[in-house]
Amino acid sequence: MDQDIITSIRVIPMEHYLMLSFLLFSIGVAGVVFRRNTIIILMCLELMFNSVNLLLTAFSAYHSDPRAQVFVFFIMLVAAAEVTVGLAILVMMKRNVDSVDVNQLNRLKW
Amino acid sequence: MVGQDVLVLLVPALPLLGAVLIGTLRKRLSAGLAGGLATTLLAGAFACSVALFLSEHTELGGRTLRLFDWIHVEGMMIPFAFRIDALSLTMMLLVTGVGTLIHLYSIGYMHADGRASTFFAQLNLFCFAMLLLVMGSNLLITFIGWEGVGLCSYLLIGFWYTNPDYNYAARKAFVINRIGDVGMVLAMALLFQQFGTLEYAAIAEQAGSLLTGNHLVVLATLLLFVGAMGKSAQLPLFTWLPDAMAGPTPVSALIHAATMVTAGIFLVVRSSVLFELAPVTQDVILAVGTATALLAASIGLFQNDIKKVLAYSTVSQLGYMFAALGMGAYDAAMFHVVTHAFFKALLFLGAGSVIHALGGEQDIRRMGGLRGSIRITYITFLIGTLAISGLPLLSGFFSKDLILAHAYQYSPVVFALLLGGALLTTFYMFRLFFLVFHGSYRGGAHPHESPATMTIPLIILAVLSVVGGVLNVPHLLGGHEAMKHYLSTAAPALGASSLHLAAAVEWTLMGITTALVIATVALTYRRFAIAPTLDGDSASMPMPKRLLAERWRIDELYARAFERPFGWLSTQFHAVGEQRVMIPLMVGFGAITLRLGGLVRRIQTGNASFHLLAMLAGIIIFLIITLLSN
Amino acid sequence: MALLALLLIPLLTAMVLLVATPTRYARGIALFSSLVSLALTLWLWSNYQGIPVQALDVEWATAWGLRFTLGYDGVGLLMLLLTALVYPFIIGAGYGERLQHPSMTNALLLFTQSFVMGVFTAQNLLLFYIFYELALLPVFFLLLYWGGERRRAITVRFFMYTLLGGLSLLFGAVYCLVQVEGFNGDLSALATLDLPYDTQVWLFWVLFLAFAIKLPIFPFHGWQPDTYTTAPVQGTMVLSAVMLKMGLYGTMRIVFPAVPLGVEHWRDTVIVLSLVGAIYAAVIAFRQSDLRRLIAYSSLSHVGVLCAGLFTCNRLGMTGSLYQAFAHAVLAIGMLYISGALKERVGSSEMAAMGGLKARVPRLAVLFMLVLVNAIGLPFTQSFVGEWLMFAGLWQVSTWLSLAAVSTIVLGAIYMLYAYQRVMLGTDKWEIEMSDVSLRDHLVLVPLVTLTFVLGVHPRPILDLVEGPVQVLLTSFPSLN
Repeated sequence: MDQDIITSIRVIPMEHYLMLSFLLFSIGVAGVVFRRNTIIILMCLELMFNSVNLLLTAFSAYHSDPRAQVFVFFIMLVAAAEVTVGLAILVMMKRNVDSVDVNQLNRLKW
Repeated sequence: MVGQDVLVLLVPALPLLGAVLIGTLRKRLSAGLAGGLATTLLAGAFACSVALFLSEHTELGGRTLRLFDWIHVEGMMIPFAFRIDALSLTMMLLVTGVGTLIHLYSIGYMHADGRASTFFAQLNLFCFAMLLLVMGSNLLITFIGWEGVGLCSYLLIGFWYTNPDYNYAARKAFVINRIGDVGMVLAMALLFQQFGTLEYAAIAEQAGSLLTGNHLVVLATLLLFVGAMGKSAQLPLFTWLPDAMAGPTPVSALIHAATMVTAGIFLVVRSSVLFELAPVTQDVILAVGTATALLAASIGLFQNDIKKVLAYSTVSQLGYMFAALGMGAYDAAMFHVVTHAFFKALLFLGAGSVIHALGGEQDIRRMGGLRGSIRITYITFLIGTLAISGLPLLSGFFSKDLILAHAYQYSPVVFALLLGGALLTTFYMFRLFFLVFHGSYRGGAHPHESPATMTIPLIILAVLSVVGGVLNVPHLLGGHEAMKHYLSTAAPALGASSLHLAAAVEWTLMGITTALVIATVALTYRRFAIAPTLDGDSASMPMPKRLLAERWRIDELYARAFERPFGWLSTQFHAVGEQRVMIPLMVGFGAITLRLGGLVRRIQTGNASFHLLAMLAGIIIFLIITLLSN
Repeated sequence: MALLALLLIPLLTAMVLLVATPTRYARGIALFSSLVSLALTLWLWSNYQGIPVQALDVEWATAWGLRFTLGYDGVGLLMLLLTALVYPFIIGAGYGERLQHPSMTNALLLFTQSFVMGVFTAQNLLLFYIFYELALLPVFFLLLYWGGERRRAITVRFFMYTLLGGLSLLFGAVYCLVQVEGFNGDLSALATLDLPYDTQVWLFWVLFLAFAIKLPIFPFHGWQPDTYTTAPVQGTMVLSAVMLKMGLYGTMRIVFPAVPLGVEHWRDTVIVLSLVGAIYAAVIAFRQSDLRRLIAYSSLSHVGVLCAGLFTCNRLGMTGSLYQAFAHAVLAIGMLYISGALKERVGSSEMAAMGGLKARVPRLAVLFMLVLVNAIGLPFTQSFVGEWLMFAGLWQVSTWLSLAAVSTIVLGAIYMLYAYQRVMLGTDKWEIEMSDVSLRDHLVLVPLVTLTFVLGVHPRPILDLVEGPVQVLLTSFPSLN
């Protein structure tokens, strides 16, 4: 790995990455749980992914272990696939119930 | 394989071939052709039996012809094998010989029936099963035949299947026989555990070392006797045989008089070694035999159906044979089996000829005066009646007298009872005879003599009924008891019985019996031949007679005691056991599941956010737990 | 490899049927597949040397004690043989029937075949469980979509009940895996578990419950009569001819080696329960008015004796029970086929609506009689050999128990002949046109009847097959023999 990047990552203390990542993740969780707009929910999901990616990169740099970065790419891939499916569902939802409110989809109970 | 063995194989194989052939081609065979084929094949089997009888050296005790291993498990080896000795040869001759005659007779009797070929197929199948029964070298092979004849009996009793009463009679016969079979199966299981084999010869060998009265042997013989009771219609399992008369008359003659019903006697004789070791069982057999002989004879007194009279007579005669077995007189029982086969087959076929002549009429109150119109039937029936009554020098005289002599030696009480039974027999047989053939005709049909295929067997059987006694002429009358000596080679017990009566005593017994029989004949002649007294409805009779005419109401008793409770039980088990217990139990299980589900499902709001929140909460709780536990 | 093929042939055929839905040829394809399976099984049989065969051993989730291990011994082969043998008949039984979605039905039937064969070949406890439960699924759909009246309630009840049993089995299996050090779930290692006596006493019921429900024995039979009556004929055939044997096989393969002391402890109880059930069901059968329900109770009665024979834990009883398992499969197919053939002609399986049919369908009456003599265990039929061995085995356990068992031959004769009379005999009252046996009827019934008599006269091949495994089982019960 390029030494410059590592040093530049290490300029900022570990705690800050942790805090930022925690904040991002919490925002994501809150968004998913409390928002009703499906598009926002999908975006919040992405936010959570990215907070984890950030953390992985930071750890990778601090431990000088490139393996974590492999996971970052892996997660990006999965996230892309997930968004594809999610948006497809969203389109179908819009067509069928003419709304993107996630609480409209409550038939799958009982 | 030697020629001799081929002959042995042919005996059962020919009727089996007939059954399969006629059974599969029954649509394409005419009644006459099917009958002819069946008769020819069985006659072939008879010829083989005769050839075997002439060529086998049975004086050495017989031999076993082993064909293949049937059931072979470690620790249990049941070969499929035939035992050829004096006993099985006698029975083979009897079954194929009388069988052939009855087949021949059936050609005439069944010629108008649309399902005659089915009839002949089943009749041949019966002969096959009966031959297996008598030829088997172990109990299990005998049991194949035992069940096989039961099935054929069922099929043939219910041959005219559109009549529900006949179907009921057929089922009744099979089920009661099966009750006896329970005893037989258990006996086989016991004997197998005890001896490790079911071969008659091996059991006889090992039984030699057992003490008399060994309780396992007593149990085994009692169980075997239960089987014999069912098949040979002894008290209390005799009620099926009179009902079995629902079948065509040749069936009654072959199965329910001459052969199948004597299987029980055969079984006891075959296992005589064991029965000799069990005096308790012998006493039971004697008691049951004597009681059956008397009870059935008493019922026969006032029956009005020609075949029913003969049926009760058969039950009664079988009782005689068992009484003889109970006294250890195996030779006398076998001798009676043979002579009884002759004259009872003759009587049944004669009755069939009468029924045929009258177009299906079976009530003797609507017969009478038939001696002129059906001459041959009349004469042969007379011979049969004389023979069964035991008139001197006819076959029945020799065999019945032998049993009575043994009874006298055993105990005068048994003698008196059996003599009483013999007189009852004479009474009802001559009542039947006079009501059918003497007096004036009381029916509306036009009697005609039967065709030659029916009369020829009658004549042959009549001749046999007359001369059958020569098979076993006692020393007293200058004979050598040929049959006893012949049979004694098969099992020592068959020759062991001996009469130690003084000649004078024997002559006196014969004299008394004969005199009483003739007196009874005279009595019946006065009451039924000159001016017949006909019985009306049984309800109008005085009490003891009414009870006899209604067969001691034993059928009603059984219906009340067993049939109806069984039906009730079946309904109750279903209504209560299944509907009220089993199904509610299971439905209850489902209901509890549903109730629980009803509680839990309220969590499932269907709101995605809520589910996510719950998931989050779950994760956090687990995190906390993990952190705290560390 | 042949074993894997045995599992894959029906599975792949079923998938092809599901995807391609060749409505017209579905039955033909299914029949062909089942015949190939049969040929393959016969080939396996002809190559069988009398020693257990371990055909395939692949790691799967070894950490949980799950390996994909296939193999068979004499008993397994017997079960494979009977499965392979009856499927052509089961599929053939549907020929000519105008069912909807024939490709779906046949696919489901083939799924059951594949999974049942998996049960009979699995050599790993968890793998056995997986196949055991999988086999239930296609039957569930068969019943749910092609069943008769009230099929929903009855199917769900059946499903839940058997699932409960399966759960119990899973619990038992997991308990063994967790509790015993070094036990890797291999069935052949079950005999070496050596659990303490007290554990075996309760674990016996945990393991046996699944099989007791599947067989079923009294008093676990609540699901059986309704399910047998409501299910489509082919579904009932699968249940009684094949799935029932999974119960028997499982008891022998898992319960007996794993908890021998428990088996000894509960032996008399189970025999008594089985025989009570056998008599109870036979008595009930007498008054049943529906032919299918009568067959259900008759099957229940036969199974009672079958289970009692197995639990004698002696050579004769167990051999007889296994032989009878084969006989019962042939018998069940025959009886159910005839009930179906009658329903096709009369339009109902109520016996009150029949009667006098012999005049109309004489050949069917003859075939019915030939199947019936097997049902009542007449000598020279398969059933007799099995029953005689079981009776002889039971006699060695107790006189009274064998009396109870033998009394079923009387009860069997009572209800079977009464049923025959109500269906076939009596006056011909029919005004509708009715055809006698068709080619299909012949093709199904004649081979079955022939098999019944051939194996009744010559039972050696089957008896030899189970001799070795029974010998092995006997060593589990040294104190009983």
